Amino acid sequence: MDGVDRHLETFRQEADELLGEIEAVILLIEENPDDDDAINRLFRAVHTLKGSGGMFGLTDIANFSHGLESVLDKVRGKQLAVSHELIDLTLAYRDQVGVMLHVGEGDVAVDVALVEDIKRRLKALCPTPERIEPPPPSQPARPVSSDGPGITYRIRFAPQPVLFGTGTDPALLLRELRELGECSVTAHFDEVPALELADPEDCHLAWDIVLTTAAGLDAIRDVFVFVEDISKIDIADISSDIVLDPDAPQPRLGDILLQRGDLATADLHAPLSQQSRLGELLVDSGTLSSAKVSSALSEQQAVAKQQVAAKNDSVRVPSDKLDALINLLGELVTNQARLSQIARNTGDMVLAAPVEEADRLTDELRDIVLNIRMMPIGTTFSRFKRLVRDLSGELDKQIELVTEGAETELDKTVIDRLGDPLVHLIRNSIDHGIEHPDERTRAGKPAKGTIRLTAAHKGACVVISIIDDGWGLDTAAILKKAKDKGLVAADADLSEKEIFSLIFLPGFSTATTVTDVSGRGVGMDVVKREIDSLRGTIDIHSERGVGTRIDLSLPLTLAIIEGLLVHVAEDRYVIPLSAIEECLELTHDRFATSGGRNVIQVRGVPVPLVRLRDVFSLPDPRPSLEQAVVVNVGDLRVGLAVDEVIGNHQTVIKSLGKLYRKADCISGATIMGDGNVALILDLAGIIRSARSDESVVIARNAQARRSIMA
Amino acid sequence: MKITTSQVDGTSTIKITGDLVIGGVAEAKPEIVAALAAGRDIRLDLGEVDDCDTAGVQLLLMARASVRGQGKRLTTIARSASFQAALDRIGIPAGGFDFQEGTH
Repeated sequence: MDGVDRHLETFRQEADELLGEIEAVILLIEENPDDDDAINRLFRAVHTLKGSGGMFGLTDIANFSHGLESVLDKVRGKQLAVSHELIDLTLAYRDQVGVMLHVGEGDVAVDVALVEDIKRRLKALCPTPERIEPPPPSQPARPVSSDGPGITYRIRFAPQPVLFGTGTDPALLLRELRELGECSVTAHFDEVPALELADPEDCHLAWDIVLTTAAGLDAIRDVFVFVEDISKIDIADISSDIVLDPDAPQPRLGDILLQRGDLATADLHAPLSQQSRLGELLVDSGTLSSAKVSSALSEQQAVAKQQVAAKNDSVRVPSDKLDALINLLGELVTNQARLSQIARNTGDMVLAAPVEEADRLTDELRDIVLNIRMMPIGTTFSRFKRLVRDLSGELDKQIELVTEGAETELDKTVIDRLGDPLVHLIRNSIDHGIEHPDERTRAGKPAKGTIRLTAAHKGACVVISIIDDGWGLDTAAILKKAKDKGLVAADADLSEKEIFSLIFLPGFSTATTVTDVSGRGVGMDVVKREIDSLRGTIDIHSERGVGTRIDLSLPLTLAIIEGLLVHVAEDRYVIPLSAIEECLELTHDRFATSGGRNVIQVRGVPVPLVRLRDVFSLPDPRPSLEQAVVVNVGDLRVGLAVDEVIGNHQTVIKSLGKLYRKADCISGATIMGDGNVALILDLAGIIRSARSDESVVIARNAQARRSIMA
Repeated sequence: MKITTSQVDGTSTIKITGDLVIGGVAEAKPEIVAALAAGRDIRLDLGEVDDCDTAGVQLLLMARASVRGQGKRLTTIARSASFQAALDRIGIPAGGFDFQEGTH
């Protein structure tokens, strides 16, 4: 990838982010057309797209953006109201620019006719012929460079009197400087001689300019190339004065003036003995002209701004580099476990201390690296606003999407893979859940339906809920359909929960009419499979006529989990720590049976007991005293009987191959310090198979266990 | 550039119309110097200034320096948008240039 391509790629990434911003902001504006702040944000995003698009030679984007920018400028200036048409056009603009950006990647093509149509309609929104106006001086043009905040320079430009005679207007040079970045210009005009004493065709002015630009020193020198022989030009990089430590004090105004030589130290200390603001004091006492002080003040502000930028500094890293880091970390954690084990076995005190230290460091490193991959889920949420808007329009329904907990952080991989299932679930809510406005009014509900999308931490999981106030699930219809399709026995007597879970069976669809919206050949079984593969669980609550709530419970990360290592017969298993409530000894007085099933008493509450020995068909005999680990899955508590609880274990998850996809009770494996393999239990699967109690399932589990351990 | 001056009761009013640019400053100098000398209160009417470059602004800055040197008072009674834009371009701060909005 050569230099230009790399910049272009950076531009594309930034442009994609800007498009995301545009979409989010226009939807905000649709909700609240008087939100001036949002309108300004939208304008700036479009303006930046236009500017940087032009810079990279993507003139079609620049032209297209220009049309929208002119309209938005009118909206900003209150000459034009926000209309439905404007919002539609902005969304259409956003989509088409998205296509333009990625022309040449895959089979995307720009719909030229559509673009022209959007342009024409945008133009029609403006009643008067548009004129290209320079940006208002109070808002300096944003730096169009893609290289971050850039460097701050102080430029002193003192031309000789002959400057005007060469036909140069310094105002033009200043304009060129302003185009390079964020620029503040202060003219020194206090030394201008009286008119009767001097020639007005001579230049008597000088300038101080503070410019923050990524364009580099040469670009600044280029501006002055025709006047450098007849001017005194000093350019100093004052970024180095900017301390990256955000807590460091800003440079003081007095220091700046001293450094520039505008002020001698003695002059500075005299007014400082009085307590007042330095700038005012110096002007009042006549030591300095107000222009010099205000120029120094603007330098102080530029420095302060850079400090803010340094505080928000971030680095873009391709995610495959992060993946490599996670892999290495996994190896390191595994190896560390081995090392700890060896240190324990040899009992060497000299070895123990550094190994313990390395252990602590590995833990810290793990937390930090895993944290790097954490992203707020809000990025996914914002695209659903658009989905709800478009689909409800298509289906003639009135639906509002309310999101909560957008700041909740989840592993990037989880977020990426969560997008499709969420789209599907929300589509279902829109299509099957929320009723038509007239049906809602008849049922005594507000005509506008609400879908709430929320995310929140719950233990080591993040729970994402999709809650609608629509029909609710029709249990009778679901059961009838499942029976018709032969998915359950005709005489099956199922609980409400069991009926709800039927919708996740492959080949099940409750919609009597397949619409364009949700009948796209992907069923809820796909959602279920995807959530399963993320080690998540799905929980449905629904009340007829009131609404449906679907809870997705997802682990924070997929790479490493805290587990509890247990021992059954010759094997070791890992139980995810997040699900564990307590461990206890299985003394005789705890046992009870209920309906032919094993039950133990935990603090007076009966809890079903599942023997891992039975689940995996491990050979008897059981030890005389077993232990039980009480786990909580969904809203079900189950005791797992094991031979012995070994202790906490940093579990680096190795996924199983496709061959073991049907092993219900195992979600992965991990390599332990001694090189042996331990299986990670899939608790939801264990509970399912314990319930169905089918010898087939158990045989399959035993088979999977044998072949993995072999 | 067209310069109109008038004197009433020690108040000298200078009105500049059209382009205030380098090409006209030399010619304008004697007229303005004379008008400055003719009154104690100097009023500038810049409401009809069209194009304005750095030399044009400097002409008025020099006039301001004269007024200050002579211990007189200068008031700007009107300024056009293009004149204000020129001040912004050149970096004359809003409060730093002591033209004051006044009334007749």
